[in-house]
Amino acid sequence: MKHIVVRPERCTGCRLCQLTCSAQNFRLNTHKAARIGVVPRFPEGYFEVHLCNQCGVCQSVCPVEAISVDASGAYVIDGPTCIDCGACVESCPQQAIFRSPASPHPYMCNLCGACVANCAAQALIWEAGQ
Amino acid sequence: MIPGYGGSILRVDLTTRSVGREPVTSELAHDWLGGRAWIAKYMYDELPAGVDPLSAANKVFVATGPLSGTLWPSSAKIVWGTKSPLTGGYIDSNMGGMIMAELKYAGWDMIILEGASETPVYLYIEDDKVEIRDASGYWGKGSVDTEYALKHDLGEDFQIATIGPAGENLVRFACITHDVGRQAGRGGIAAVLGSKKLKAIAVRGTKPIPVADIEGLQKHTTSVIDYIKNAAFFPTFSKYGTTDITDWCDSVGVIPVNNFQHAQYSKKDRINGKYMREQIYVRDKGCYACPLGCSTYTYSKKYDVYVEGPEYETIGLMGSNLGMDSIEEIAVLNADVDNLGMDSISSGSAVAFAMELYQRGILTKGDLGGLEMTWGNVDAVRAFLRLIAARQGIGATFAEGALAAARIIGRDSEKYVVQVKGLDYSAYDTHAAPAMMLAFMTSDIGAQHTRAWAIVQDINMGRESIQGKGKLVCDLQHLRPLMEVFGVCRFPWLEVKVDWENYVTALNLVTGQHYTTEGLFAFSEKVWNLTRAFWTREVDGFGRAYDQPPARMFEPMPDGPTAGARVTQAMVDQLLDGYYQAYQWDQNGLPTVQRLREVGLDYVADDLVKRGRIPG
Repeated sequence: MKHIVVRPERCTGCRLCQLTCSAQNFRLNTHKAARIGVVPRFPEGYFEVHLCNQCGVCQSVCPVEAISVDASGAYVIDGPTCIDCGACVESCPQQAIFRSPASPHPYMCNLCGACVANCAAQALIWEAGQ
Repeated sequence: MIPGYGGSILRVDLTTRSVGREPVTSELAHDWLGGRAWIAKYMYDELPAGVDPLSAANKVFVATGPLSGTLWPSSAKIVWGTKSPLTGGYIDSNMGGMIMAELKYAGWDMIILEGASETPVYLYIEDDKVEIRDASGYWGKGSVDTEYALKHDLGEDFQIATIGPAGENLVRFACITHDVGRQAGRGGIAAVLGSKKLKAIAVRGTKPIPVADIEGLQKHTTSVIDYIKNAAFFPTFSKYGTTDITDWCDSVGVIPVNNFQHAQYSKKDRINGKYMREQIYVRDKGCYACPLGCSTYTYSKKYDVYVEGPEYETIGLMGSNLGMDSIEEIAVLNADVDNLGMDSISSGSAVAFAMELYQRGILTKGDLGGLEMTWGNVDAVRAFLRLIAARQGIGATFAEGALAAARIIGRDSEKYVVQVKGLDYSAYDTHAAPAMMLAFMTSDIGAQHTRAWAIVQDINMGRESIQGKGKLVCDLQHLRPLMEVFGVCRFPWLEVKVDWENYVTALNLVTGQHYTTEGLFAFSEKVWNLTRAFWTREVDGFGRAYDQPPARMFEPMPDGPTAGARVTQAMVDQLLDGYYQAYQWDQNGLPTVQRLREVGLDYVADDLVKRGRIPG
C-alpha cells in the first residue's frame, strides 16, 4: 500500500492541494470541500496540514461499522450506513475527517493522489507503506 | 450563472449605511472581463470629473477577475482602484493572499465603496449577509494587529483587509494590508478608505466558483504545474522570491542607493536574498493557488519582530536607498510600515528625500523633529515613520508624499524627489535603462515597475539605445496589465516562463468563452486608452509634461557600473515620440478622437471633446 506523507515544514499554505482535491472528487472550484486541511498559524509562521494517515481510529470508534478499507488502502465511510453521529470526526487524531455541503456525510482522504501532483513545494509525497 | 464569476457587485454607501446588489451582466463579464478593466471603466463612468480624492464623492473599487480564486496557478489577485490622493490621477494597486477567493465564494466579484461614514466602521460580508459594523474598537490599531484582532473576534476563516494608522490619518501613500503581509501598496488607496472611516473588510463565503470546464481546468493546471516543477528558474525563485534579484540589480547598476545618488551598494551581501535566508528565514509563504510560494516569512532576532518579506522593492527603497546596514534593519522597517499601513516604496522614497535634504543642509536636525537623519540611522528612520503616520510635526509635511513635501519645503528641493506623476520610483535606477525609464514615465499610475519591466531588454538591446524602445514598452503594457484583468499574478509567466497562451486557455476553460490573444491585446489597449483618458479628464494641462523623468536622471551617475551615464532631454523626447506613435496618440501624448473610436471608446472620445480636453 502507498501512503501520502505530509512534510508540513515545506507547506506554503497555498491551498492548491485543497483546490485540486475538491475539483478531483467533487468537481467543485473551492478549497472548502477538500479531503485535506490546511490551517495557517500566524504570527508564529507555520501551516498545519491535516491528512488521513490510515491509522484506523475512526473505524474502531464508528458505532455502526460504516467505515471500511478499500482496495487502495483508503478508509471509506459508507454513506447509507453512516448515521452522521460525528464520532469519527471527533476521534480522528489527525483532524482529517471533514464535513462540507459537498457531501451529506463526513469523508476523509481517498488516496486519489491528485493533490500530490499539484504540490510543487513537495509538502505531499507518495511513500510506499509497510 | 456566468462561469468565472461570483455573480454580483456589492455597492456600499457609507454615508447612508446602506448596501445594494447589482448583477454582473454577461455584457460586463464578456466585454470588460474584470479586475483593473472594471475599475478603469467604473472610475471613468461614475466619478464626478475633478472630484477631490479625499472627499466623500470619491469611490473605491475592489475588483476580482474571472480567474481570481480558481484552481488555475497563482489566481490570487484582487485589484483596488480609486482617484489617487497621491497623484490626483488614476490609481489601481493589487494584492495577493486569499481574500479574492473568499469574496467570490461569497458571491461577489466587485465591491464599490461610496460616501463616508462619520464614525469608524468595517464591512462584514458572510455570503449574502452584508453589514456595516462599528470599528471603534479597532481604530488606531496597526494594520496587521487589526487583522489578527478581527480574526480572533470573527473566526480564523474570515479573510480580512485592513488599513493602519497612516490610512486613518490620510497619509497620501497609505496602503491596504491583507493576509499578514500582502499589500495593495501604491497611490494611497488606504487614505481614501481612511477618509471614509472604513477600517477593514472581513469576508467569508461558502459557494464554489462556477467553472465552465472544471475537468479541463484541472488537467490544464496539473500540466502547467508539472512544467513549473521542472522549470530552470523554479528552485531559485520559489526559494528566494523577488529578493533573488538583489545581486543582479547591484551588478548591473540599477539598485537605488542614498536616494538614487548611486546605483551600487557596498553592503549588498548583507541585504540580499541569500543573507536573508541565512539570518531571518522562518517559512516560505504562498498566495492562493500558487505553486511558486515566493513570499518569505521572517523573524528578526535583533529587533524581535516578525514580518512577511522584505521583498526586493523594500530591500531597495528602505535598505540600500536609506543606507541601511543589513537585512535585519530592513525587516524592522518593513514591519513598521506594514503595521503603520504605509507603502514601503513611497515610504522609502519620502524618507530618502528627507535624508538627502539633511545631507545637503536644506533641512536641519531641528527641522526634522530632532532626528539625526543620516544614511543608515535606523532609529531615526523608525521615529520619522511614526511622525509621518501620525502627521506629527514635520511628519505632516512628508505625509503629503515626497513631491508635495518638496513643494511645501521649496528651496529648489523638488529636484531630489525621484518620481513620475507624483508616484515614487520603484527600486530600479534608470540612468542607463531608457526602456525602464520610459516604462516609469508612461505607466498609467506613475513610476511603478509592474506595468512594464524592461531592464533585461535595455541590457540586451543596448543601454544607450533608444531605438525600438517606445514600441517595446507599448507591447509590454499590453500584456502585463492583462494579468490584473484576469486576476492572476504575473510571476509564473515572468519568472518561470509559463507560456502566455496557457493563460488564454485557462481563461476559456473557466469562462467557456473563446477569447484569443489578438482580441485580448486589443482589449488591453482599450483599457490603456481609458486610463489615459481619465488622466486627461482629471488633470489640467495633462500630456507630455507629465511623462517626464525625475531631475535626478539628468545628473551624471558618479560611480558604479553605470558611472557617467545620464539622461538628456533629446533622449526623453525621442523615447516619447516613439511611444506616442506606437499608441497612435498626438504629439502631446493625448489620445485622439480617432484612436479612441477605433479602440471602442466612442463615449469617452465624445466626453473629452465636450469637456475641451482634446480637439474634436
